[in-house]
Amino acid sequence: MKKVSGANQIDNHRILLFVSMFLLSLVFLVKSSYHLLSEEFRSYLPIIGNVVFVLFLIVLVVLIFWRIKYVPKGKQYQLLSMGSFVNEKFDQACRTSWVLTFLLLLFVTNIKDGNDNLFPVRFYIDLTLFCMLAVFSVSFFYYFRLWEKESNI
Amino acid sequence: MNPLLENRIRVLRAEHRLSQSDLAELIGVSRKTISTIEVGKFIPSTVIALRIARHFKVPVEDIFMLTD
Repeated sequence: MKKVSGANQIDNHRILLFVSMFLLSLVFLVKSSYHLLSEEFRSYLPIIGNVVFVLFLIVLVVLIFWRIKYVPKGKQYQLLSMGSFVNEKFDQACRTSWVLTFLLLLFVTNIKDGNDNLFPVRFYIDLTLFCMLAVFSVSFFYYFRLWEKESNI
Repeated sequence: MNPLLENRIRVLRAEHRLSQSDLAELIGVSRKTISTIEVGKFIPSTVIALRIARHFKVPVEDIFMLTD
């Protein structure tokens, strides 16, 4: 098996991190959709929520294992991850997520002003967490363009 | 290619018969970082630019140049 360099392992670790963030965002999506669905569909939500949460925990365990086993530690980690492409996309995804979450909160605040009893506060918190994590992970994959084939000539 | 910055990494790699993976390994970055620098999608940090220059034993401005 071909040995993967420390820098590539750091990239792989970041990708796993974003997969876990995406799965966590789905947990919050399931929680917030409880208030939007009819009684008939609500009964399925705990099952879907538990399945997604278990998937999140599995990825989290793999993430921790990957960090301990493959990612270089200490100074070498700083050196290898500093100024890399994946780091820049990580920052870009953070900015996109911050802006869109801020806009969502502004929008939600305006809705709340008009209809104070529309949904419980918990719904808005779950919706915000879903938006923040989903935008964070999806925008990272978009910026990182994982699917693009690279030449290696 | 980035409209502000050009680079000669591909040429230097070819002269030294190195693949993107080889160069990435030698200077301690991932292959994705090298491939995106080469095509101008990513402007490298000063540290990475200096490491590339040090590896090819040329000044940084022989590898990276402003287009204007």
